[in-house]
Amino acid sequence: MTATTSDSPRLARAARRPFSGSLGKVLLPSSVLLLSVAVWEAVSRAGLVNEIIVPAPTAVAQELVGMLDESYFWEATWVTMAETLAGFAIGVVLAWALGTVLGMFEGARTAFYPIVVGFQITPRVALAPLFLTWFGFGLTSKVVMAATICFFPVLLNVMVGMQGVDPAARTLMRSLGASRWEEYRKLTLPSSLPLIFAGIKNAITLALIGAIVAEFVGASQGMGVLIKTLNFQLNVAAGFAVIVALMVFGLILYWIVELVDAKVVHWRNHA
Amino acid sequence: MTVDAQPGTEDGIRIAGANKTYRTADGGHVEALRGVDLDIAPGEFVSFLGPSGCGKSTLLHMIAGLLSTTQGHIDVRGTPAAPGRADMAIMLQTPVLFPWRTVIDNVMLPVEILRLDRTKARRRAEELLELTHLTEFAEKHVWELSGGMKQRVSLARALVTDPSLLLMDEPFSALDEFTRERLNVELARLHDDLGRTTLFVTHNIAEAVFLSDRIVCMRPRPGEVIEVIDVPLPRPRERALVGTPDVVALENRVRRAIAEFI
Ligand SMILES: Nc1ncnc2c1ncn2[C@@H]1O[C@H](COP(=O)(O)OP(=O)(O)O)[C@@H](O)[C@H]1O
Ligand SMILES: [Mg+2]
Repeated sequence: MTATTSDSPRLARAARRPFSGSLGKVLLPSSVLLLSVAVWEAVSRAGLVNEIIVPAPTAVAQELVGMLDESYFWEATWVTMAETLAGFAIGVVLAWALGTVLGMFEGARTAFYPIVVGFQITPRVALAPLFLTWFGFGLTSKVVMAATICFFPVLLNVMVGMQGVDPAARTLMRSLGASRWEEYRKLTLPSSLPLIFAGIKNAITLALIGAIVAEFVGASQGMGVLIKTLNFQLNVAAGFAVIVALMVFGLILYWIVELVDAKVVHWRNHA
Repeated sequence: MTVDAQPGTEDGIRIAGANKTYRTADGGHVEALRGVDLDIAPGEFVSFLGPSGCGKSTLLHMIAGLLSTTQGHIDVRGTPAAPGRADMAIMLQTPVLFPWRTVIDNVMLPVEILRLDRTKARRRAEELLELTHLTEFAEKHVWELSGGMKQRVSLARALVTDPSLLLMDEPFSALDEFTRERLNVELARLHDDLGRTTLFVTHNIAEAVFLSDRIVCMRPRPGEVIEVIDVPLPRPRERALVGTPDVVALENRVRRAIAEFI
């Protein structure tokens, strides 16, 4: 059978290199991860580093499990997630809207391009102290920070996506007498979706960074505040536990956006 | 040069003294087409043949109403050339299929934009997919198709509105020789069956002879019509025709007509 002939060289290769193939895609990274944690644990147990500075993974895990029962942990999580999601939603919607206008009108694009690029290359976290002054200690300054940090990558991708439409497709739409709106709705928007969603995937990660940094700069609630407080108390293991929780939440958010992306831009890997 | 008027041009295409000069980005001018006079009768298959840069695409785009003439005018079935008409369809060098649509939805695109009766058009789309041997791919995504199949979808999309005028700009030139030959045979069969006016841009002599009733030979710099050659081969055109003495003689005649201007 054809299946056998095409499979056997691959199997032979897999036998020679145990970490190739689809099994290796799971096996290889998870063994590296386990090994790193094991080395960390061993180094810590052997007393090679001060346990107060770098606590053992088991200590971190213990703190994390303990925290899951504490209401302060979930309150902080709720605050940070709310800031992140609100900032993400506002940033993405505004960037999409403005990017569409800039993508449609060459005049607007020329006028605003230097500002957009200027902001894009500025480290936007530097604005956090300013936002604190403007919007206070509450959630608003964090939402604004999260929105600002994810705004520009989405804006740029919307613009670039709209520029990248196949000119022959535009010719076809125009030959059919499509209106501006139809050309946007049936051609420009769908053909720029792969890039727009690449920007949005980037934005969700950035929004979380924005919220945490803004909390570091000045806040009374949130996971950023929790990390700072635990560090001041020299409870480094608990601090690490919050960071691990942040990583997990970040992964979940990214994974949700990626699911939406795979649904909406179902042709991504084929175009 | 002037070509004798064909009968029934009020229902065909009349190109009178068409000139096109492009303005380039650096402020210069390019004379892409000069003094084209041509009448095309309904049901005719006319090829525009010549090397790159002789203004074939420019002429086709002007007939489609996508470009204005600098001088002269073009009438399509009694009205000035304009885009957005259901009786005209254009097919380009690339298939221009939308990867977010299935094959059948790609074929239906003109129906949506021209706001035609969808139920009727849907039946027509299915017929056309059958004619182009794509029935079992109707619900597939376009990335699952080969280059030749994509161009056949593009052809089905052009035909879905039942246009009386079909404009084709080097539609098969990006395909390999075998696929191209096969699609040419299919196109000839479709033309024999459906008999619509077809304007076909190409730089392939054999293709032009095999398909056409008339060949408009063109030269570049500036783009001009050199000669219009009749192709008195019998219809239906079939593969067996390729390589016969009549066909070879016509190919040579066309080659000679253009060669002295290159
Ligand atoms: N938009 C344009 N601006 C300037 N010059 C153009 C433009 N389009 C085509 N031309 C020029 O006009 C001439 C004819 O082009 P075209 O109609 O594309 O020829 P063909 O289709 O026969 O290859 C060429 O010299 C080309 O460079
Ligand atoms: Mg061309």
